[in-house]
Amino acid sequence: MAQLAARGRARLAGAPSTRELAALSAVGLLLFFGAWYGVAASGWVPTRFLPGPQVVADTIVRLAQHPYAGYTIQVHTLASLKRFGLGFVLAAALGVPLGLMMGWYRWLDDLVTPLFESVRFIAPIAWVPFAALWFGTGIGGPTLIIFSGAFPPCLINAYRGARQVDKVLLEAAQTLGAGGLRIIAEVLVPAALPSIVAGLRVSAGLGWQSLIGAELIVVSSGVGYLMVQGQTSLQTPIVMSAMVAIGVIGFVIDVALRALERTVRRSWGDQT
Amino acid sequence: MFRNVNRVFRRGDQQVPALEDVSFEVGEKEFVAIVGPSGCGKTTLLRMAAGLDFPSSGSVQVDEREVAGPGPDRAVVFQQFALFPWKTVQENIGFGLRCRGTDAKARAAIVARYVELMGLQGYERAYPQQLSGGMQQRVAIARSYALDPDVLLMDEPFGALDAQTRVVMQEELVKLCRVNPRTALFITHSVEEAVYLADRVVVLTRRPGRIREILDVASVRRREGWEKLQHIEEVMDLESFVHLRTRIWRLLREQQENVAAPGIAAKSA
Repeated sequence: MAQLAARGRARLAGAPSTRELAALSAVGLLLFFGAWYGVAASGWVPTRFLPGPQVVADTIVRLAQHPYAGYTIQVHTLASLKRFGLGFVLAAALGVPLGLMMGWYRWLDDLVTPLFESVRFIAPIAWVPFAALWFGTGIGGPTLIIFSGAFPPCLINAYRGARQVDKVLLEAAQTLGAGGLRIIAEVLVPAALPSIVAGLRVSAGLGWQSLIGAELIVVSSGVGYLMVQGQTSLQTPIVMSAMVAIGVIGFVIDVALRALERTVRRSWGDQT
Repeated sequence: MFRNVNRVFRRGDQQVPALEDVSFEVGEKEFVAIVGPSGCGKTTLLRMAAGLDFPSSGSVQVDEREVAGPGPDRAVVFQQFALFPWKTVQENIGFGLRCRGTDAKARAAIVARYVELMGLQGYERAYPQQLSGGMQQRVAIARSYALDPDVLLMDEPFGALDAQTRVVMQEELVKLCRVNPRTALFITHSVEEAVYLADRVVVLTRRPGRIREILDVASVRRREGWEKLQHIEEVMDLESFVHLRTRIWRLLREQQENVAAPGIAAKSA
């Protein structure tokens, strides 16, 4: 007992507080920007290949005011977000119910799993030629690519969530006369919700990454397209501005879904 | 109800017999308790009646029909309560009624009745995790009773409760059964509980479970006037109660000693 308590205290003492965490994050960012600035200013690398942070910041401001590659950076970002939203919603709307049903109906599990397990190893980017050929470079192609990235985590987490539901709850529902659909809607979904939301978060991250990959190749607007245009005209600051935009948007999406996950966990956590 | 029931579990390549040739019947509105050493298959018996498990051979019938699956005519009260954590007390109690398609008004009336009967007033909108174990099991019993089932199946319903709560719940269950007599099958490892609650007590042997003996408690209860006593400790003080309890304990102990004998120990291991 004493040993356990001592270890518990040691871990508590070692774990950083919120304030310390914030300080550490700030130090990390500062180090990164400092190094970037230092290398860019030292002249070791030609500024054409590595512009300093100041130049990139200026470029972002300029891109926000003057269209480049057809549109301002906001419009490019919005175009990307629209595609992302469509693909992500589609993936969630298909993946979550299918995963839950596979968790409940054994035959569906046996039917879908072998196919799914082989298809999901095809990287989203590998779908690009096919997607462009079949769905075009407008909205269909990129949507399919995001879908291929975002779909597997939605399905897998819903499936796992459904499989991990306390068996006694399912039996209780059955003995109370609930049918398959009611059990899915009123027992599996709420019980699997924490897992589903965690899956959505992973799925959003993968979807966003896949989208940028898709935009490098297919479309004529969006952050990825902006990047390619910057690259072909050797405008490194523009490429880096687009990278910043990708990072920031991805971060915002993640923070939003993390907040959702926390809310769900908190209201569900007590009983498990 | 149970006719020559055998149940064999498969564990890897091994076949582990859990129940052997168990036959007994529960009469209309009769309360039967099953006691036996842990692992003797008493829960398996109950799950078969519920339609959550099936015999390897033999037959399990309710109302002369072979049990094919779970259904609301046979309500189950689980040891782990099995309440839906995301539903309030009244939603939990009303769940089975909603499955049946009872309209909202009738449902509310039935839920209100069982809330009152189980002393849950004021907690209708609470969530299960906000309640104590005893309260949660009250909700679970109300949820089962609300369906007005023909048969009530209870799997160590008070096993997860502390001793005092347990006594209160046992008394409440006796009261509930007096108001609302049901055909009931009750699993427990507590001999006192079985004798106090049941009309008959089925004593099972160690795995594989067979019927060791079936004791008639109801006739003793009637003869000795247990019903006139309000509290469980008064009943437990009666000579007739002690006598029955001791008999069951002896039956259970015989099996313990059998295990201790080396020859049989080797066989069962």
